[in-house]
Amino acid sequence: MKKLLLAILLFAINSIPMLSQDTWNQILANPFNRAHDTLDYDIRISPASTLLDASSSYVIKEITDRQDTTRVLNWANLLAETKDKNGVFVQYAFSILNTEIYTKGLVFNVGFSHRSEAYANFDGPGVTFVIGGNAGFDAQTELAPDIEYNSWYQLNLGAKKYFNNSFLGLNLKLVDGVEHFSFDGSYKINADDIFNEIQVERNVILQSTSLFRYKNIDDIDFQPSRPFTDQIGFDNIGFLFDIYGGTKVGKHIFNLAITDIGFIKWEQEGRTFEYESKGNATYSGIDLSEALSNEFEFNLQDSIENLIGLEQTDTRSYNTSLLTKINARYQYDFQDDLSFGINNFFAIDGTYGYFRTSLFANKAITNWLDLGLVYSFDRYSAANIGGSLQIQYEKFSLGLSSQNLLSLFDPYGFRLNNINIATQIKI
Amino acid sequence: MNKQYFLLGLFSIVFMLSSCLDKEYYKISVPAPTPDVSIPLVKLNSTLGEIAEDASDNIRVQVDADGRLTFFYEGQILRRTVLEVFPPLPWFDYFPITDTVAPLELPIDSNFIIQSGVFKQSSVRFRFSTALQEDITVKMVMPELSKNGVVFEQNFEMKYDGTGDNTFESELISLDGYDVNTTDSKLYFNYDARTESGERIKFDDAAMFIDFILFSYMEGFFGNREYPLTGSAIPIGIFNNWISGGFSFDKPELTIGVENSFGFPVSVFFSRLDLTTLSGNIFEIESTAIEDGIEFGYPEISEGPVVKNTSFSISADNSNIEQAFNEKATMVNYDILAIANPIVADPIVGFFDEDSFFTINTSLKLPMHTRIEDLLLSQSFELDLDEYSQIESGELIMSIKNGLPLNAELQVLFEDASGTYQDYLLNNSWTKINASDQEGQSVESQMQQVFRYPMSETSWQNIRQSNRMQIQLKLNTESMSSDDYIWLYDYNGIDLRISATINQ
Repeated sequence: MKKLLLAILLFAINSIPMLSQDTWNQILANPFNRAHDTLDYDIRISPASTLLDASSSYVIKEITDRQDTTRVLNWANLLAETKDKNGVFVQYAFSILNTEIYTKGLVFNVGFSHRSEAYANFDGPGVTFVIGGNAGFDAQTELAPDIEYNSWYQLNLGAKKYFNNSFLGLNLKLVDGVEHFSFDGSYKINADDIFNEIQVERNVILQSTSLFRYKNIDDIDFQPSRPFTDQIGFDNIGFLFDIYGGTKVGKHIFNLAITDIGFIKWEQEGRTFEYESKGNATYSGIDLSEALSNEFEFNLQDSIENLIGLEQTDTRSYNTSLLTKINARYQYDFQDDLSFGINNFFAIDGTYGYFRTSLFANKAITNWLDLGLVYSFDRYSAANIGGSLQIQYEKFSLGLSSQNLLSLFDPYGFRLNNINIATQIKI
Repeated sequence: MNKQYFLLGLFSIVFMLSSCLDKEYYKISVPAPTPDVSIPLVKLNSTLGEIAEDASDNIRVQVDADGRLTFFYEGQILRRTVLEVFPPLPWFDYFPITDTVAPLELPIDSNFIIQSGVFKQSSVRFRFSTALQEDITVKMVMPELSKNGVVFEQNFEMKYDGTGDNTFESELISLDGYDVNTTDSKLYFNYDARTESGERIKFDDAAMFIDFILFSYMEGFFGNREYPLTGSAIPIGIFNNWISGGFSFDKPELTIGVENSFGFPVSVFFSRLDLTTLSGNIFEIESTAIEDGIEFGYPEISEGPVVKNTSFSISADNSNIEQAFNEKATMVNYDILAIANPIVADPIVGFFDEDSFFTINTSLKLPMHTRIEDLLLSQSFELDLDEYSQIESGELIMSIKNGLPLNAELQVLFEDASGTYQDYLLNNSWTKINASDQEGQSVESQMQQVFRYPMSETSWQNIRQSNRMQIQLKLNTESMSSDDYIWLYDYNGIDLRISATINQ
């Protein structure tokens, strides 16, 4: 049995890099997800927990072709699947040695995590313009993708206080930023006639830390970081906090959590850059009336470079805020061993918003096994059937859940992919 | 439920799932997108008037009141200023004054006879020496020099210092602005030196120093001088791209213009005047004017130093230039000899001042009054399309508004590996562009003509591998009899736009 326990533990840990190979995860930071809260004194350690959560307006299988052992993006299929509004939301977390100390009415917790989150929001015409080209476009096209990516380590310290049938908690997080990228603003492209000039109205700010340094479209110096292998240097310090609480009224349980409020200051020397593209640019081909008496050379790359117009600014430091997550949960304890409810999840910042609503039912099958069933819909998908499983084996707990069970067997076949693996040992 | 069996089952499921998580299986490769791009490649919106304003090298374009254009191919300009014709004579030496009245013959060309002049910037200094050991007073007069009617006169006191001879050297005395009036190009120094007792003496040694002789104005007989200009040529680019067909101009002229502010005549003689044609033949221009020389005007003394402009044309009326030029001239070759005061036997009193100059310029005047019959022009360009290998096929689209009274046919050829030009766009057919359909109207008012040139994958690959492109243009003046000429106007022009749709 110990071997079995060890195997499960090893799988839980080893599955993380496999799951995260192409995307991001996040520890399920919502404090409500810890079951079996107790008022007794004990210490609980989560050796490793991980969460991968990705939702997209695209189904990867529909926009890629299987070629030998890999999948190849099919641009034509991607264009066919592109709608007026498109987007991606991804979060990933890997937490180790998260420890909770339970005392009478008070719970302290400390832990370390690596987290990432990314979102992209882009209009269909812009995608079609970039991928399909401007042939056939006669009017103005606006390229205004809203893209943000953050990756960071966090050291969190928190406390939760119980008051009769209620509790209130606070987490403080010291953050070391790892990678960041954001694209804000737009290129407004006007090409109203195939014979006329292409005008670009530029208002773009692009920020990057530890991802790349842009010199020109042919000279981009990629410098990504590797989580847990590159040194943790606290070059990009940030502070976050979570606040959460809950109350139980009869058979009704209400919980609310607001997490990841704060900022990261990106200022890593030699790896933090800001680029901007401002003003108007025009591409009109070669004007022979100007070139009649001069030597001239047509260089398409220079022309595109000029239209993009990205110039590095003097900025070597900037702040970003993360998506603020809100969980609002209601649970009705129908019987002692059966409950159901609804959970609403929101991830928002000033320009982007993601939501997911989950209807769930949990059933305690035995005294060591809970099973749950979840129906979810979110910004990008209408129907997902998930499930959860929680095993309590002596002092060891293992939680496995997914909000789209089918995606576990066919990850690229669905818009929503979600898996959460959590372990806990009571000392 | 048996806990151990459940966990074993769970482990099996998880193991099966983990086996699905093959890294390669989930790898997604992202090829570069291949957008179909429409881009404007080339545009040309110019009128002949605008092109005329930007004319470079040796071309000048004149637009008359009706907007008619005339090209001038300018030749080398011969310009001579007074400093070159009459350079200042540096002297910087002492000239002996051998007696109390002594002449100084000005060191100028023996052909010159100076009658009057005005010194400019020259200065003079005097030096005297006597063995008499006493004070001496000296009055120096130069009767040919006067300023504001007062004759040049200087008085000096030679104080004896008690040792040796009595010697004296004056300060530099400016002659700037002094008028010279002489009949024999000589200046006279008259000095009156007297001892303390009033006795007039002659110095043992007397001398005059002058730095240089320069006049701001001079009258006299300046003699005959020659200024040759050899090996000159006027390149004419208008036939550079000619391949075949007729291209005639009505009344081309070779114009010689002279600006002269010297107060004496200048004549120009051609020792050589011919045209080089495209084929390398030399056509000699025959004209009586060439044999006799062309005399140009000059200001009279009474007029003062004004600039006189005169010009002379060698045209169809007095030469065979039209016939020679329409043999597709690429160069006018000429040697000229400018002669000042050419008539030696009958010299005139001339003049010059400090700003006097003469310039001789030659230009080929080419009125854009033309007749074009099946004129085929060709221009080749280097081509390097290596960096566009990602392009699979595409289409070139040309829009043109033709404001010229010329029908045109266009063909674009690409050189293949064997050095032969091939038509990969239209398979050896020509694009026919209609002449202006709105006579007398601007380019913008003309009808837009659009032509499309699809490029298949094969065509594009052939074009991409070519290193040279050749544009051939066939022109015809519209429906006119063979003896008529049409004018090209400054508002005539063309609006040409070429765009491409590229499939990648």
